[in-house]
Amino acid sequence: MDHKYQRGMKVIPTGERKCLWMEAGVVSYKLCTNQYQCSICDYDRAMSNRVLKERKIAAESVDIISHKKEVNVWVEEFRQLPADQRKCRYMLMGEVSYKICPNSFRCGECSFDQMMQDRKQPRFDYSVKNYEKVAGVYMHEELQYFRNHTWLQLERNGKYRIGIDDFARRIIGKIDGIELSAVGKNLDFEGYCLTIHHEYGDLELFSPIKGIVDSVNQEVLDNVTLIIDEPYQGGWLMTIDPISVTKSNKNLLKGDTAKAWMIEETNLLSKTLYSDLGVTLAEGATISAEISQNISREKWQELVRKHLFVR
Amino acid sequence: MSDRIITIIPIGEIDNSFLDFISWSIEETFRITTALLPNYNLSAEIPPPLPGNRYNSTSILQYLSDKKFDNTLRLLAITESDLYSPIFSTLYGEAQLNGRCALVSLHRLRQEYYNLPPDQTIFLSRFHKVVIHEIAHTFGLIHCIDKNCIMYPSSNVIDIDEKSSLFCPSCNQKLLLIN
Ligand SMILES: [Zn+2]
Ligand SMILES: [Zn+2]
Repeated sequence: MDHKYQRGMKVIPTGERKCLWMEAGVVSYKLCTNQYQCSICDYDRAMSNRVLKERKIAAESVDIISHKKEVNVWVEEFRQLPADQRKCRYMLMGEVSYKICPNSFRCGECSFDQMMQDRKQPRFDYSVKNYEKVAGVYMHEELQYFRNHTWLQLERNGKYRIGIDDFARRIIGKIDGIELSAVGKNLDFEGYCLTIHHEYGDLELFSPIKGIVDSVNQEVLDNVTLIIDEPYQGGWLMTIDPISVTKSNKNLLKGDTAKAWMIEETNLLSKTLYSDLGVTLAEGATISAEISQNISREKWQELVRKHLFVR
Repeated sequence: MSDRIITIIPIGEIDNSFLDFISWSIEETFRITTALLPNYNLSAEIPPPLPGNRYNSTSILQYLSDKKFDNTLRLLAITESDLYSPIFSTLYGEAQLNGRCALVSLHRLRQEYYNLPPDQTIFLSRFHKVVIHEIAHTFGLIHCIDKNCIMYPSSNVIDIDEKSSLFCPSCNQKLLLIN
């Protein structure tokens, strides 16, 4: 009772939300800083690990009952909480009017959560009206770009969707085939996740983020031209369950920083493509999607090495 | 003094008032005298255009850069034809970085091209910005990340309209150092 009284005294500032672990009474005071996207929350990860550890200790103990008194096996306790303390996270977010959690806040195992996630995908509006041309390259305000011309987008379920950007698809040109890392593969930061077969040689591109391959785009495997035709839409490559978001985030570019970087990339492209005329720069230009057919194999290999950091 | 002239070559028919306007623009901006050559017919000298009268801008630059022009520090060619290059599918202009030649097309700069009512002021403002931008490339300036700077790489005419006709402080500094 003491515990509950203390909790009642804590004031939740307007506009703030209680962390699910506070809601469940496991911790006395913690605000959500992550919009209930528990799967990318470091705090949730730490707490889940703690619970698992405690469960393990309890299970290994000969005298489980006596241990239960000492160890906070909160899942069992959770079921005994009054309904107003077991609100589903979609109720807390205001997305459903009334739903009591049937699953001890283990959203990863919850069928209702899965249904809500499916209904919400994709959160990202891929429609063309949201694209802006920067130095002749289509970019999207909401996307994060990595310096090897891959993009990534945080999905509602905490996974990252990745693909290649408009610049990359223009210089690659025609794709003969691709290979994607398999679901479940643990990608290191800068771990290779995509192989492109091209008439000028195979390219291996690395992932912009560290994590486990969560799903791959089957349609792109069946029809590789999607990567070239719709690099930001049907041509997405895979979703990745991130291991370390904060660590790799500083290498990702967004908004004005990404646009400035793209202009520098097109400056570099012009410099790489010097000819008898020296370096020429063009205004009002869109990089031709047939560029690979108009330059030598060696020049092309130099381009993909410089811009896509391929192996 | 004799080689400090920017020579303007109209490729095909170009309205004289546009040429007078741009000569004045260039002299005001770079403080360099301009000289206007008579209309030039390039059709026998360069590969035939693509359908839609689209000329390979690189071929034109190649031809001009190989040719001798007296007293010419920089060369600006102006055409009404649409341009493309093997690297860039459409373009308003192209220039040699730190080189001698620049080329500008008027084709996509008019409101009429976008099915809008003609507007001479908008057209001349775009023409001025593209010409100064291209000549600045020949003086070593690359594309600038400042959306307001004349060296910003416009992707469409809206970008041209939105940027100013001036160099940002950083580009201006580079231009002063070069001169
Ligand atoms: Zn330019
Ligand atoms: Zn500038």
